[in-house]
Amino acid sequence: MKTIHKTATVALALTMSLGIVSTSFAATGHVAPRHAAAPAISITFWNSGSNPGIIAITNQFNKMYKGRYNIAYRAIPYNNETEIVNSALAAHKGPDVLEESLTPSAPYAYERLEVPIAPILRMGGVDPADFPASMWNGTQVAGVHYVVPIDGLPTLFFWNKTLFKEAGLNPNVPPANQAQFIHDAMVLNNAKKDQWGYVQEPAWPNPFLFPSLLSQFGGKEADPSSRKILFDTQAGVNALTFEYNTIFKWHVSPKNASANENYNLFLSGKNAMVMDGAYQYAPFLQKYGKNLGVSLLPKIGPKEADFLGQNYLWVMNTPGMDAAKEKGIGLYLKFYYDHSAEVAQSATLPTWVPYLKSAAFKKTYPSLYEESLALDSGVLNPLIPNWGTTSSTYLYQDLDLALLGKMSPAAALKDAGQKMQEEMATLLG
Amino acid sequence: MAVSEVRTKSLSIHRRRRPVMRVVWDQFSSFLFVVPFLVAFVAFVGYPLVYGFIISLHHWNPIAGDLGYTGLGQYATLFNPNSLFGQQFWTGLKNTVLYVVISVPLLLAFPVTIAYLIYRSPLKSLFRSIFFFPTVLSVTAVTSLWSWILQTQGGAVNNLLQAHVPWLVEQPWAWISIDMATLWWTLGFNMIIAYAGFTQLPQSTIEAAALDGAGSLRTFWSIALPQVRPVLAFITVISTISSFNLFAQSLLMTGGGPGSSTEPLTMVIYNQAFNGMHMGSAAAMSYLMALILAIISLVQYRITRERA
Repeated sequence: MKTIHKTATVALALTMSLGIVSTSFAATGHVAPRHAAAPAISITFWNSGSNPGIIAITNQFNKMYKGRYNIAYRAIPYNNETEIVNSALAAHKGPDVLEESLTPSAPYAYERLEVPIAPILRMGGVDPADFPASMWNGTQVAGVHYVVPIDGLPTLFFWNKTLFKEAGLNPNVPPANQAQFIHDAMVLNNAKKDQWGYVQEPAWPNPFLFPSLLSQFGGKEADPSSRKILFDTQAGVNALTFEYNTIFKWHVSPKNASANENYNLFLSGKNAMVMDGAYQYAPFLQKYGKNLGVSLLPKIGPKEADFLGQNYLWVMNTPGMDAAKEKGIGLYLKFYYDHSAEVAQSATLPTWVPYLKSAAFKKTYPSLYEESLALDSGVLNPLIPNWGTTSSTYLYQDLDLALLGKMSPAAALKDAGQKMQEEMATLLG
Repeated sequence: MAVSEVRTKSLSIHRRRRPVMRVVWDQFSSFLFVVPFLVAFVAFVGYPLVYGFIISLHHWNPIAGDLGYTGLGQYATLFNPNSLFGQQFWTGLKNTVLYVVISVPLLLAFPVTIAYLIYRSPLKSLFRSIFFFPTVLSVTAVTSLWSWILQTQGGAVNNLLQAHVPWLVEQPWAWISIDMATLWWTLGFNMIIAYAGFTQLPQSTIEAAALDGAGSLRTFWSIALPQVRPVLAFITVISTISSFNLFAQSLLMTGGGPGSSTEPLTMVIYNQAFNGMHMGSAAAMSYLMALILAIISLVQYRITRERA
């Protein structure tokens, strides 16, 4: 009886297990209905972070092209986008279209996992001359364009107009150059109120600020074709020395500022000026409204330059990619750029020059119009595989040490340059 | 041979065959209950363990795949003080060992003491809940909270102390900050284990100690603690293992800084694998780390077993 009971239990368990396993396999399959019309061509689109403008445009495209094309949109978390995408590609389940910041596209291009974008643009009727030059030029890999700009995120200068007024400065006139910046910061410093003219913290937002200042002093981060590191030149030393001096020479910035302090102190009214990416515009505007000043960066160096945070789109060479799908992607891109107003409506800077130069854009979105002026002097990261992630490990770690007073700017850049040059030799391409 | 003898003989043969089949079936059917776990273990532990080791013997890029066999070359590189990977590995290991040496005694002493106090207090349930509560929070919530209150300018702690302690950007404060956050977060888990140990103490020994004139401190140190030694050994081992796996607190509170002084080995491996895309050398680092951890755990186990 005991044996029968055990046997029955085992048989039941096996049957249930087989049932669960077969059901889960069946669930991954697709059963086409009989006598169905040819389905729409499905194009998978993975978007890093979630962009309301892209979502709205995608939904409209799917409606307009119903029965012909369907963009299957998916937002992937921004913080671990690379791991998610690489895991999917390794399993041959990657997306057809991917949107991320610029430098992650480089390793895929070198490994021929991307489709050249120019023919796709032609199929859709998109003219690359209508992209901002700073976001189109310098984005080739081995002379071939693989990516198109989707939106821009320039580095901006924010100031607290109320604090400017209280310090006797004109609240509507931000500093235009280094001398004015130092002067205003010194005036805005108020030890009694625990108030700082400016907060230069290690870590973020240096990946926006340092490349901006480096370019303003006439320098570059690296040469993509030769993989030679260039940030350790005099231009780099000048850029980092400016940041260093705000803390240790002019004393307009506190020592040992920790992460997010420039942001938190600005919001609590203890920091008068911030140089950071345009993503800070929304929270600062929410806090200060009309008392928030926004402009392009002051000219700290002799040149005008502004690092552009950015999002780019590229097409992956997936097993199902064919001419029909590429045409659909081309049409989607044309649709996207023609609906640049929807992008602006989601408080994101479009990258379509005909719209950026239009009177409607200037009138409807004056603050975004001001941001768009940064595109004229925009600079990007060098298109070297994994530049963003490897520079955060070597370059910005040493910059942090300089800003904490542990190393001189020159020594920090020299050390970072040696480590980065050694790392360059191990990268793809 | 008589019919009855034949019948008896055949019956006894039949009886001998039935037990063997039953034994085989019993064992096989018992094994079937283990099969689901075995399948999951092979799929998610065994296979990755073997395949990971194979990757560590190659230059492996997650996008480009296998870029060439290196044998034990990547392990050898880790022992080369002139190589970038080698320097990063040993810096990460040094930081991890430093953190383990500082944190494990704290993760033992505080929870055990608090567990004993709760054990002797009348409001056991209330205090158990209060001290266990941080354990249920996610690490991102914990690190966000502690990063905010430990800001140099405007942080709650510095405001209270009327000081400008650089909690997150200077040593030794950076390690102290990570230790404080980790202790606050995980104290409850160790406390519950120690509390369970104290509840097994025979009341007679506590009462006898009181009758003999032993004070609270003497009772705790000489009576209670020795009797929960196996529990203390367990807490020490699991705290050592979890401290060796430090990752999120360093990543989210200090970013591994200042410089790389709070960058643990797990973060070095993560940067190698997912930022630098050097899967082969990252795999080599992780296997070497596993070997070191296994040796340490074995030594700890031997020591605690001998003492028990």
